[in-house]
Amino acid sequence: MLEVKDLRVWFPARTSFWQSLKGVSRYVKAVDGVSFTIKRGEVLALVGESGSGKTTTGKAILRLIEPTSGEVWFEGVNVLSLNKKELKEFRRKAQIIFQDPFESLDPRMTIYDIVAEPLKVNKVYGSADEEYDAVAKALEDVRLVPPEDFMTRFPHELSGGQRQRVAIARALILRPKFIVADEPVSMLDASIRTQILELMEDLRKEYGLTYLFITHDLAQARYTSDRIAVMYLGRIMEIGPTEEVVSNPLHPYTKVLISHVPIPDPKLAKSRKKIDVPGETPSPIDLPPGCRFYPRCPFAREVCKEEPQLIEVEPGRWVSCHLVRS
Amino acid sequence: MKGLKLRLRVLRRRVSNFWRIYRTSKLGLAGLAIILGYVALAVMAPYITPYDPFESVALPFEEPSPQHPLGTDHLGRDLLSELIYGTRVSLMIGLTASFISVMIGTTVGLIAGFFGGKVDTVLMRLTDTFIQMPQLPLMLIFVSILGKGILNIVLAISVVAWTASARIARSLTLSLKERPFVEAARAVGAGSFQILWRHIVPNVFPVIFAYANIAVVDAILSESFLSFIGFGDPRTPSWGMILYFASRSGAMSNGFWWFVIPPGLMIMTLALGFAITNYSLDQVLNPRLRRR
Amino acid sequence: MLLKVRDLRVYYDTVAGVVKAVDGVSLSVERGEIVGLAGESGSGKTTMARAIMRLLPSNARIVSGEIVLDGVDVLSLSESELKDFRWKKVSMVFQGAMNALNPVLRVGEQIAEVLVEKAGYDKRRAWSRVEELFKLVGIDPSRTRDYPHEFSGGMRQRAVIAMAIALNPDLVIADEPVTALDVVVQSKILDLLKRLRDELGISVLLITHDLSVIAEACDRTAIMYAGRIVEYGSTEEVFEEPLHPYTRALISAFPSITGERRSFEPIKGDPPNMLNLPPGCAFHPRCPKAFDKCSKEVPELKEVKGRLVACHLWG
Repeated sequence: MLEVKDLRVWFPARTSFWQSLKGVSRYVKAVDGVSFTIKRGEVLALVGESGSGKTTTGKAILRLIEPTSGEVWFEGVNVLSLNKKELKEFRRKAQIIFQDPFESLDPRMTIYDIVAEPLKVNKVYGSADEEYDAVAKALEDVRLVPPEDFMTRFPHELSGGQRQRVAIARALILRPKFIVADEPVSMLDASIRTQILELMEDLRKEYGLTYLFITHDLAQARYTSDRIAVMYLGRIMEIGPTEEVVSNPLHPYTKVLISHVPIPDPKLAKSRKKIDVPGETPSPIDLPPGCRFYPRCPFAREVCKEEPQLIEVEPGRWVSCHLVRS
Repeated sequence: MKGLKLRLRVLRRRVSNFWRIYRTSKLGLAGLAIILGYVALAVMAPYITPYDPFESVALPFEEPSPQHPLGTDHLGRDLLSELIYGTRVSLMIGLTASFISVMIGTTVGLIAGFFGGKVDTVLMRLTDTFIQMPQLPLMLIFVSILGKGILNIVLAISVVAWTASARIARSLTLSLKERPFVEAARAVGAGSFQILWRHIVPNVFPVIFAYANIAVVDAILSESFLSFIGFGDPRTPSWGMILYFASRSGAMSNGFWWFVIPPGLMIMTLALGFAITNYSLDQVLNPRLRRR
Repeated sequence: MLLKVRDLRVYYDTVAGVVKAVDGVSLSVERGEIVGLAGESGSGKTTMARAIMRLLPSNARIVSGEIVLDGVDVLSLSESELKDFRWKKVSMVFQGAMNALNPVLRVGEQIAEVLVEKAGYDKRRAWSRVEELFKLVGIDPSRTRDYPHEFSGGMRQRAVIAMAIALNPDLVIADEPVTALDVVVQSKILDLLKRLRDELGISVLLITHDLSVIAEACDRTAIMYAGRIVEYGSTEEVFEEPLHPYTRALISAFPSITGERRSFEPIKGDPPNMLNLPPGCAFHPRCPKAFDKCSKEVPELKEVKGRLVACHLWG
C-alpha cells in the first residue's frame, strides 16, 4: 500500500559566521535514506529515541515537511511528485494524528468546527445538514456520545483523552485509508492511554485502516503493531515482525535499547541484564561516515566504518549491520 | 436547520463564557460603565441638553449658575450643552479612527507574518518608516494637505496610528502559524487562505480587540490635541475645540476654570474608561495573564 | 523512620473553588530506601512533595496533618529554620530542572553557589566538593567548568542530582526525574539513584506517573488517586498482587517488553474533576468492583496482607 524508498530530509543547520564565509554548509540529516513498506491493513511501528527522525519521517510521507529526496509510493502514485491539487486529493486518503491533543486543536474553535473542518476545506457536502450528520457520526465513532453534548464545547473544556478522541474524529471524517499516528498517547495519563489505543484498534478493524504508529516506547509498540522498524539517527536499523524483534533483536542497537526498556515488573526488572553503552545519542549534525551506531556500539569492528545496508537476513527480517548476516 | 441551531447555541455560550469571566473584574466593569455612560450621553444629547450648543444664550464667560450649570463660553453658549454634544464627536472620532487604523494594521501584520519572505520585508520596512517618523508633525501635515473637517482628522489619525497593530498582528501570526493546530489544518487539506481565515484571524482577533481600546484612547487624545492647537473643525463642538477656544479667549489667565476643567475631565475619564477596559479584556481574552 | 507524614491535607483556593489536592495522606519513608509515589496527573503527588519541602504556592493551605523528618516537625519551622532544613535535610530535584540550569553560568559554578550560600563553604573547598560530587554522580570531574549547553540531557540530569545531594541531605525528593529522557539514559539515571541509596544511605522519594520506572527503582510504592493514597506496600508485593482495583488497572495499563503479551484492561471513564470529587471512594465511578458502600463511605487506609490499602473490598 505504501512504499518509502530512500527518503531523505535534510535541514540546513546553523553555521558559524566563519564557516559561512568559507562556504561550508552543514545539514541536520534528520532522515537519511529510509526505506520501508507497509501492507494494507497492517500496523507498522516506527520506534526511535528523540532525534531519531521518526516524526520527521511520518510527516515527510504526508508532505507536511518537504523531503529532500526519495520516493513515497501510495497506491501506485509517487506522493512526492503530486501537484497542489493532487496533494489535496491525497490528503483525503492519508491522515495524521498528532502527539499533543492540547496543541493540535484550535483553542478558539468548537469541537463541531474542528471535526467539520476537513469537510469544509474539501467541500465534501453541499448542505449543512449532511455535514452535521457526518460530524455527529464521527463523534460517535470515537465514542464521544451523545455527540450533541460535545459539539458546542471548546477544547479546553475537555479532558486530554477526550481531546485526542476529537483529533481522531477529525482525522477519520474524510474516511482515509492510511493514518500516521505520531505518538498519539504519549501526552496522556496511563489509564487513558489504553482507552485510546483500544479505540484506534477498533477503528482500524471497522474501517480497514493502515497505521504508521510512531512511538518512542518499544513496549507500547509491542502491543500495538504487527511489525516494528527501529530508527537511530535518521536511519532504520532493523525491521521485522514485532514479536520476533522484541524477543530476539538482531541489531546491536535494538539489543541495547531492549535491554534498557523499563519493565513494569520488579522481579523481572531486577533479574534482567542491561547491555552497557557509552554516551548518549548525538545530534544528527555532521555525522561520521559508516554505521550510525558504530561510535557507541559494544560490538563494533573495523568494517563498521563503512555504511551498512538494510538487507534481509532472515525471511521478513531486515537488519542494517555488518555483523548480522544470514 | 440543525447547523443553524448549533451556531446559535455556540454564540450564546461564547457570550456567556466571556461575560462570566469579564464579570469578575471590577476594573473592567467600571471601564465598561464609563464607556456605556458616554455612549448614552452621546445618543441622548438632543434630549438632555438644556440649550442648543451652537446658539448664544447668555452673556460670554458667565460663571456656573442654576441656569447654566457649567457657565458659558466666549460667545455666551451653554458649556454643558457643548460638552454633551462634544461626546458625540470624541466618541465617533475615537471609534472610527481606531477601527480604521486597527484594520489597516492588522491586515498588514497578518499578511507580513503569514507569508513571510519578501512580502514581510517590504511591509515591515514600510511600517518601520512610519514608526520612525514623528507622529504629531505627520498628523499635522496630513490635516494640512487634506484640509480641516472631522473625516480628515479621522484619516490623519488612522494613517499615523496603524503601525502598532501591524506589529502586534505580525508577531502573533508568526507564532500562531507554527502551532500544531495549523499543521493539523494543513494536513486535512486546508490552503493558505483557509488557514489564515479560519485559524490565524480568530486567534489574532481577541488580542487586537483588546488593543483597539488603547487605539481609541490614542485617537481621542490626538483629536483633542489637534483641535486644541487649531487644526480642528470650528463648527463641531468637540472637547478639544472647547479647549482651543478657551485658550484663544484667555480663559486660563482670567481664571474661567469652568471653561477649561470640565472638557479636560471629560477627555481624561473617557480615555481612562477605554484604558481599563483594555486591561481587563487582556486578562479575559489572554488566559495566560489570567490569575489562577 | 526518616520521614513520617500523618493525615496531611493540602487544599488550593482557586477562582473555580477549592481543590483538595492532598486529602488525608499518611506516608512513611525509612532511611536508605527509595519510595515511589505514583499517580496520574492531578493525583496530588507533586503537592505532597512541595508540602514536605514547604514550597507550596501562595494559594495553598495546609488544612491539617503533620510532617516529621528525622524528628523535626516540618510544618512548624520558621522561615529562618527552613534555610537550615532545605538542602541539608531534604532537597528536591524538580521536574524539568535539568532544563532550568542557568545557561550563562558554568554547571560547576551553580553547584558551588549552593555550597557557598547554604553552607558557608569557601570558594576553593566548594570547587573541590563539586569535583567530588561529579565523580559521585558519574560525570568526568574535568567538566565542572562546562556550560549547561555543552552537557547532554543525561549529564544535566546528573548535575541536578549532584546539586541535590551537595549538602548530604537525608532525603531527596525527585519529581519525574527521568521523564522526557531517552530509554538508555533513563535506565542509567535510575541506576544512579539506586547507587546513591546504597553508597550514601540516602532516601529517595521518587515521584512519577510511570509505573515501569517504579518497578525498576523503588523498594516500596505508594499509589495515589485523587489526593489520597490507595495502596502502599513493598514494590514487589504491590506488583505481584495488587489489592486495590485502581492499582490493578493501572499496572495492567503498562505494556511490557517481556513476558506474555496480555491484553489491556482499560479503565473506563476519565480521571475525576478535582473540583467536584465523587462521594465515597473517588475511584468508584470507574471501578469494576464497586458496590453500594463505595459511593457512600470514603474507605480508610487499612493494613491488609502486610501493606496498606484503602478499599472497601478489604473491609
